[in-house]
Amino acid sequence: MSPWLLKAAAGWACLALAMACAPAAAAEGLADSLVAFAEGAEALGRGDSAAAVERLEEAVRLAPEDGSFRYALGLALLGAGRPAEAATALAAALAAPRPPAADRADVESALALARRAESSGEKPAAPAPVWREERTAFDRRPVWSGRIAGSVASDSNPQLLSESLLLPDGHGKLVDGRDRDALAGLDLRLDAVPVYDRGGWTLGFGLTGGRSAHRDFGYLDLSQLGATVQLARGADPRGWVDGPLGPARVPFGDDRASLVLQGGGAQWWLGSDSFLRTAGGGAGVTLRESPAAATGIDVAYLDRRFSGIYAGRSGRDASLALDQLFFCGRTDRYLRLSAAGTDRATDGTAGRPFAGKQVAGGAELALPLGLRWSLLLSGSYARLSFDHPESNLFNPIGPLGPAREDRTSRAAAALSWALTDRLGLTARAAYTRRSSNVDLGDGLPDLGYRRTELALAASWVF
Amino acid sequence: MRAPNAAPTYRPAPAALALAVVAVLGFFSWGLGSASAAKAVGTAVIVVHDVRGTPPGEAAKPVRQGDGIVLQELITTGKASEITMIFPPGGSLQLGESSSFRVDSQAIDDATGRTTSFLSLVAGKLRLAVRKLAQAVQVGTPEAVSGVKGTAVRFLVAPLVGTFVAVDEGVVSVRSRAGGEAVDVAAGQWVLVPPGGRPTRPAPLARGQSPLEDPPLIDRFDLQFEPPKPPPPGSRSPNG
Repeated sequence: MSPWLLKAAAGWACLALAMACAPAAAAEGLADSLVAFAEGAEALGRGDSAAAVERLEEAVRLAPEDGSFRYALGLALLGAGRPAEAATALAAALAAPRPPAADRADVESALALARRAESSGEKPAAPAPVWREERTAFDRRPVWSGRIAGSVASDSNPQLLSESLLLPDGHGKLVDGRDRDALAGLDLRLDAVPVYDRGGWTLGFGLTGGRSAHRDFGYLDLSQLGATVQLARGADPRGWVDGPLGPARVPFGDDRASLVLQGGGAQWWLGSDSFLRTAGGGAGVTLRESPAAATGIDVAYLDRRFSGIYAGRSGRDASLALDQLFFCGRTDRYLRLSAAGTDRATDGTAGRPFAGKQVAGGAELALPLGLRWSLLLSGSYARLSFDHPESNLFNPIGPLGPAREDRTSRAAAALSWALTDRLGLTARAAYTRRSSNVDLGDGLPDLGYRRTELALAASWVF
Repeated sequence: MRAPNAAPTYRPAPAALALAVVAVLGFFSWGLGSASAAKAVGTAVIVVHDVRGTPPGEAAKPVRQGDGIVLQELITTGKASEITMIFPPGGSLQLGESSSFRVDSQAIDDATGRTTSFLSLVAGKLRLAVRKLAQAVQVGTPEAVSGVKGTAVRFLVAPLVGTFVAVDEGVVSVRSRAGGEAVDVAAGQWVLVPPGGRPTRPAPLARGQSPLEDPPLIDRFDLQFEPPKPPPPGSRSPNG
């Protein structure tokens, strides 16, 4: 027998042994627990609390991890005039490993009723259970949450230069678009949602921070600190909605419309020098036409203050964005088509080269692959038309020459693997190509460039 | 009846396919039952969203909590809808979203007094739980007939894919309508019966997976809700 066949046989033997030793997913008493639960729910429905308690206690004894069984038992105990035991059962339902097929608010409301009855000695009418079709609607997300991510990347053109356009980098070197670099990054995000009302407003705060470190071009290292505050109304099947300043957490649900108002600011440093300070706000509306489609409309206003030699770029951006989402059977498999327009105004004469208008369009396709893998493909195209001839840096034909116009295409792919519910790995690749109408003359390079980025990232959610 | 391994040459509309299957299953089960069509065989105890029942000879009507379910009543659920019903003696049923099923007949053995029920799952997901020795159940799907005795089992009928049978407790005997030997599926195993084909070899359910969750293959056919994912990192930064 050849070595290859021996290896293959050994592999199959190991696989067969592993499968034979794998614990079966069988559950003794499962059928009895399911039947007892159904019988208890039937008794609860016709108002026979004593029979309901008996059957549901059996269901809980057989499957203590099931929150639905405990939720129904709590209501039955409440109806039977046993509020202290009802409170215990309902509190256990909230903490059960398998959450109830109900809204968290309904379970909490029943628990509050049981506790009031326990302290007052009254015997309130027990509410009827309100069931939902999906247990994932039971929101276990904490008030505080966060995410930390580290990455390593290769950047083929961190200077964003044409391959043959050789320029001084301001640090004593000449660089062009062929100078690649490697970099590492660290990003942190903290979110808090102290006010969370399924039928009302949700208030949230977010803090972001990040830093990149280049191996060769340290003056391109970028650091950022930012903060946002957001007020949202409306529930979404995804548990969050898109806003002009980023995603905002909302309760799980199927509301036809949701609104998010956001404000925030950020400070950026380039190398060790202050680079940019932003402050702005916006509003986003999401309309869900059907379970398979949603439309997003965002408006935003952003004030941008650059520092030092970049100060001429300071100004204000006003933007309008439209998104159309098509879900294919589930919320994490979708196609997003987007279009956006931005009007960039700048300050005074120094800002004239940088004022302009951008229109952009894009598509994003999210494909879950199996249980823990997902693929995200995206592509975009943007045209930035500057307002004034001064934008044409070399202005070859004088002040009446054409203003600069850049066209940028980008394609990206990200493959993610969730090792656990909290730890994930992502491999990303992106290709960017810009063309510009700035013409330096025959045989000379222009302001177009090409850039390829490859990155590996690990993230931890807490 | 389909020829074994016949290649499909057309794709019938799901509604037409469902009606045809109901007609075929009803024809074959008609002679087996001894109970009258008006007999209540269960009670709806949990009804979520859009659930409709079509008793024989009547128009479809919404099913509400506490409603009795009669023999040969076609129960259908809409999107994001489901129904749980008690199914005496000693049984319960949960029909998932976008599903159709009915209880075709029930027969009582005069000698033993034991009940045998015949169900048809036309499309979608069904979870069946039966206490030991309570009753025997035969579940018919377009591809297979499964014998259930005292167990917890899940069925999924997906058009063009076939019938999944996942057993959480007890043993289920699965026989293809295309012929061949019955396959015993033990607790912690699942099989697939493709259209016109034989049952696959029983395979273990995912290691460590709760029996109340769907097996991965069923999950991949997107007939359950996925846990929501956290927001995508770095989406639409205002400073980018």
